[in-house]
Amino acid sequence: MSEIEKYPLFADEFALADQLALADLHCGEEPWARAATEWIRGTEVLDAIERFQTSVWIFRDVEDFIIGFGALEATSWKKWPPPDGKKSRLLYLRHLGIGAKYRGFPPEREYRYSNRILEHLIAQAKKMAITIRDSKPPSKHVELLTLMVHRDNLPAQKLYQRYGFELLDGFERDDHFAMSHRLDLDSDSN
Amino acid sequence: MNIKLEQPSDFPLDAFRALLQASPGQQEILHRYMECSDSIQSVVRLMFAVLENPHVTDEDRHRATRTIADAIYLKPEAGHGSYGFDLAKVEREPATKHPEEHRRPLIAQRLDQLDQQQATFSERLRSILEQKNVTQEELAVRIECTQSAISKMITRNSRPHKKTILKMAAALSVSPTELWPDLEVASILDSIADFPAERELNEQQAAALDAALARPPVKVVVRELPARARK
Repeated sequence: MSEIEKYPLFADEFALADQLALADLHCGEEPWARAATEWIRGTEVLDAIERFQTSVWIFRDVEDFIIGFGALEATSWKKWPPPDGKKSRLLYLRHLGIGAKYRGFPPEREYRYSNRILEHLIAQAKKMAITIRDSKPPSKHVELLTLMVHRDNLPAQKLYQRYGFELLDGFERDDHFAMSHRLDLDSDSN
Repeated sequence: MNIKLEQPSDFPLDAFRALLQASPGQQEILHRYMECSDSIQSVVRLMFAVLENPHVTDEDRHRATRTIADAIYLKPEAGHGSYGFDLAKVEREPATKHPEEHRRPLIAQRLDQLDQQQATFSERLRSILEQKNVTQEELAVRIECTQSAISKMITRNSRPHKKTILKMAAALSVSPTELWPDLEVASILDSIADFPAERELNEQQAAALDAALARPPVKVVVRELPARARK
């Protein structure tokens, strides 16, 4: 039995009914982990879905335990070229949270939950980018999947770097910096 | 101001009708606005114009809303602000009257969480003042507000703004998180939420986006996960 068969992972779109089960999800004690926990367990997730059409997935194992979650959306229009343009949108990975007890699990990196969740989110981002590019302009930078990461969250930074995310200058805010990944929209590798 | 009310047409019917239709929370906001000095009312009107302008950014709207919130809770007679505002009544309404019933328990849960944080803040502030032998009056002078504003925060009749917590922490030489433990979490959520909402790009950001777009696409195998029938 392969690791994937041994540790299957499922992705379902967030539903209100998940709120009850999410009460047991703890992403960790670091400030960014507490922020992720608070976001998914509070009302912020509902606000994001309503106001920004954020897509949220809940990841479960075969026993139906929640392993983590991810939230993806298109940003508002950015004025490009600055200062008066109105042509740019980016994709934005608002949150990726994993239960603290599932960090580094399973041990073999290829099958690790964090990797598989990020891969799923990149695959969804590609679909979203293609839809926007083809039917919902403006789409100048929509091939860029962006995110904000806390400067002290080194494991997350390493994870994102493994998947081709690079620093995006000029968007630093408080203790966060931005990273971007240019999506490969012409391949069907997912 | 010399106002005459002699004819039925002198009566501001439309304005009165709108006032009657306002919710209790909205009426309280209007009441507070009317109590403000002319100069503060002028600021509120300016900020209202920002909210009405369809061309401003979400960030500008957010700032304007916060400025109004600050302004209408000023005490004109004291010349400065209460540095906190009591939203209890306005906030609690959605927990019992939100049109989508399924959201009410979640809103109530969130409010309970805020209450808990406020209680922790109150206890901690009281304890730090005691340890450092600082009176409410002295703290008020240090952060340029009134003693009654400090008192309201300690008695949980008013919730402090983040900037007030930061000022207090500096004035008391403690870390802001010693006063409000989840301040860092709130700040992280703000940072994450601000990025997608901002529309203004500066030259450096625009150049960074173009440079990122000029790079070749990332060739990485991604595996989409299956959905699962819910139990």
